[in-house]
Amino acid sequence: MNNLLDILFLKNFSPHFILFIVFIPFIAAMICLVAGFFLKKFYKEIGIISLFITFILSLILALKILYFGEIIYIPGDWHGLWRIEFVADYMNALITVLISGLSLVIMIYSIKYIPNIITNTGRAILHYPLFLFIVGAMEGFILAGDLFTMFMFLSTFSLSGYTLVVSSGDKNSVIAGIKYLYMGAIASVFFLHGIAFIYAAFGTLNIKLLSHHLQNWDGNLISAVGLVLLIMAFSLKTALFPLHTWLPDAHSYAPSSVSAILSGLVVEMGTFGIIRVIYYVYGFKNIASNFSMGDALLLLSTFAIFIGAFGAMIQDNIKTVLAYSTISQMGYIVIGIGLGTHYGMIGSILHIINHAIMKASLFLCAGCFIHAAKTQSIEKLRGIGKKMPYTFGAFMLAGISIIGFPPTAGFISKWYLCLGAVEAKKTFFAVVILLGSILSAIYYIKLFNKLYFDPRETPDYEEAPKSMLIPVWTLAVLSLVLGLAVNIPLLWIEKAVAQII
Amino acid sequence: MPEINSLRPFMVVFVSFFFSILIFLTGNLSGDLRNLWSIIAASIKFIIIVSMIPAILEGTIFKFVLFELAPGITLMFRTDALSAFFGLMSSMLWLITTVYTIGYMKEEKELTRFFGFFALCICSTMGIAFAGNMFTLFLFYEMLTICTYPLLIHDQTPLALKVGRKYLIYTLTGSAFLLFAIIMTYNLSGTIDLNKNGILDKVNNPFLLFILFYTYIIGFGIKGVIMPLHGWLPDSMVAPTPVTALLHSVAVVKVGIFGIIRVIFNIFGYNLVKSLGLTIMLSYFAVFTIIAASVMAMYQNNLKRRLAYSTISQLSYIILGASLLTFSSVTGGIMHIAHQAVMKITLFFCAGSIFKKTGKRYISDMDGIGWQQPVTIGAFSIAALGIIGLPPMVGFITKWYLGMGAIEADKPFFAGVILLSSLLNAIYFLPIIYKAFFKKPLTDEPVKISEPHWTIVIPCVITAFYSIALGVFPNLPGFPLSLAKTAVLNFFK
Repeated sequence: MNNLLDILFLKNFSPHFILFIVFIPFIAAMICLVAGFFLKKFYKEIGIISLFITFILSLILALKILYFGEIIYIPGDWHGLWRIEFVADYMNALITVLISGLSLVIMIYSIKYIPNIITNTGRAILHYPLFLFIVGAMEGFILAGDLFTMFMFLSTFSLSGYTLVVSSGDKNSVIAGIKYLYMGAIASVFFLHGIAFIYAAFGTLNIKLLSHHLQNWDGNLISAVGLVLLIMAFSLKTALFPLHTWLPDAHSYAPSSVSAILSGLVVEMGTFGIIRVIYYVYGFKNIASNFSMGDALLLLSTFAIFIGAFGAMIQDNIKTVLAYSTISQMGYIVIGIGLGTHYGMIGSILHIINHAIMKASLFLCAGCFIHAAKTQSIEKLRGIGKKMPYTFGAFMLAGISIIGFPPTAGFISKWYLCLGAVEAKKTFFAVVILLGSILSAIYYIKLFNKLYFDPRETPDYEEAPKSMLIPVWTLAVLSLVLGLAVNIPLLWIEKAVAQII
Repeated sequence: MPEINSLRPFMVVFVSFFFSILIFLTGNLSGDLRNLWSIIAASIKFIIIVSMIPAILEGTIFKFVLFELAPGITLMFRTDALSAFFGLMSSMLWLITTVYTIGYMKEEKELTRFFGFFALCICSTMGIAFAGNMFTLFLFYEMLTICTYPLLIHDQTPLALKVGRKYLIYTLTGSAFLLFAIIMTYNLSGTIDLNKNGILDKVNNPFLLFILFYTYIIGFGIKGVIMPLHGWLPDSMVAPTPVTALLHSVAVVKVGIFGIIRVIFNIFGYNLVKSLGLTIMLSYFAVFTIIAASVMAMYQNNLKRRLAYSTISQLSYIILGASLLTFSSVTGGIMHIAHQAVMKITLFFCAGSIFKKTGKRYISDMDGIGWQQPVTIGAFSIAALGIIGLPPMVGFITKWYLGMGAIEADKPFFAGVILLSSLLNAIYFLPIIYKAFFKKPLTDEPVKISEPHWTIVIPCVITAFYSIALGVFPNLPGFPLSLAKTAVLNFFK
């Protein structure tokens, strides 16, 4: 197999394609803008084709990394101290595929969905370039090899995110978007200041160089402040308690395909950032020996799990339930990060991948329901599962996965997280994780009950169109397959975790 | 103990899964097709299990590894004597119940959903019975929870939905405890296989083992209705009678007990449990359950609820037998899995027959019903006497072995408990039989014999017949006694 791929193309594939992965969506976004506003057609096709190409390239990148190891790419070959650097390592590779693949699926879904929800044609057209900006910026953020490049791309996808949240135009979404904007801007400020402190302490922002400088960290004040500021910035972006208040509104009132990508991917960029800073830049052992950041993260994520769960139980808006669920699930990922053990990190990274797929599927299904019934209220959506059984089937499958029934993907991430907690001799957090599962079961099952088993009369809704059903089912089935075939992501993840533990 | 690789354990599980898909796909086209798939699935399953019995009695173990999800988590099937015993009992009763269900549910709605999930339930039960490691067991345990839910709330009334929610909260809490215990086991011993008599021998911390043991007990005890974790069962009687008969007296509750037996003998192992005295507290919970549930049964006027409390009481016989850790007691306990199943299913079938024909749920309405439905009430009486423990019914065999086991363990107190329980069983069963035959009916209509359709009555008769046959001829090969003895011999090595 190795040799075959060698001969085929992997070995000799030009390293520039990392740049393509990041910038094809950006270029496509520009073309999309032009096509959309002047030609008024082809913009959807451009979006889909560009994301498809990005997806194929990211698959090639992932395979190449699996067989040949890390790739460091420096645009323009400028090796100066302040160079832009892209690094594709084992952890990146998988998430790159995740971003491009998931966005592709969501974009296919949005073809039928967006015209229905966003009535202003100008804004509907604008959706596609903004979406592509988010994808490109996320890829860039993931692949970035230095902190300033990360900051650039973080700002890009944040700004596009704020705009997309308000794109549906109704009053709630505008308020939600402004709240998101303010808090995201604060995050950016923290990020920038953190970078400034780190630069002051070490004179470089390159991740690999920083990790060399930080081999035996003495915990000096300037770099410690930089660390804390960065963690705070990423915590805010990932809606970690107590910086989570922007998320429920932002994700509830955005159009559903936007909610899917925000809740599935954008929010996880924060956790990725935390992993990069703690494990790749500073090193977990260095931090743990100087002060207890890991424990702080564990505490905050425990709160996040419970706040998310209790918040979800009392909601009437279906998307707010899912948004609080995201807060809860981010808590799981951060627990894995805070534990700092082999299994804990595997669980975290797995959950980053699994949650993106499951949450996107859930939000897209919710979008199908909203598309048919024109309401987000669970009370008004009662019994809709009976009229839209295919959509509801996917919703249930993704929901069962998130609750954590074996052998779905959600179960596997929880298995590893619990093993990690026990491995770290912090069994309390395994109890927290399992308690969180029970709580999430409660509100998801309540949701299923209301949507399907409610005996009162429901109007005759039409089943969702195929271009919306196929993405939804693809993701739901994937959440089951990723549980059964977890050995495949583990190929990359085991190697990634071996490097950082 | 020769271990052979064979597709048969997997086939047993897969057959129902395959047919349930067929039912879901074609069930709406024709009710007859749906019934046909159900019967064929149950029959094939039964035949495959029977084919494994002779080898099992000689000590062979069938194994099949499906695939490895991740390091340490493998989907693997393994049939030993205990599995074969449980599988044989379940599949045989499933076949009979399928006939009963087809007749009983004839005029109901949403039958495709019902029979589809019915088939998936037996698939899950077999998966639990034939699980080769705790992960596979846990997987099918959870699947059982999901698959029983639509059956439980089949009527979709607000009460049914409320009961369904309660059921899910109980079982999901149990599964969280169970998963925690499994993770701890994996962490402590590096394996979660069920192929040895104990995998925790290297752990040196008795307190930790105690906590782990009781975490497992709580996890399994919710489905296995040990008091005080039993709260979901009496309420679940709102389900249609076929569901109650099979699931809530045979399949769902028995898998909890099965899990506990696996924990005691395969995860902890006879030697470890005996030396640490882990089951002493468990035996007292069992005693409490036996007595308290019988007392509560006396106060129930709803026939099915009375039978539910009787189930709770009887299941703890099995736990008591397992926790006394002597050859006879464990044999008696394991046998009671089958004995109680056969007798209780008869009782529930008869309750359903009464309800179907007369619409009566409450015992106070059932005066004189024995003369209107003599076959039904006759079967009921045989099974009831069996539970009380009268020879030649099979309940006597259980009580004999449990009593002997208690004496063997130098704890005659427990033999006393069994006797007391028989008395209490008599107190809540005999009045029903007396009322049915010796009291005049409440209305003045002329008494004529009218039983419901044969698909409902014949299963009652068949299972009542089993209640006697297993008691009169317990030593036949393939009957509970021989399989239980083989299983216990393995555990006590």
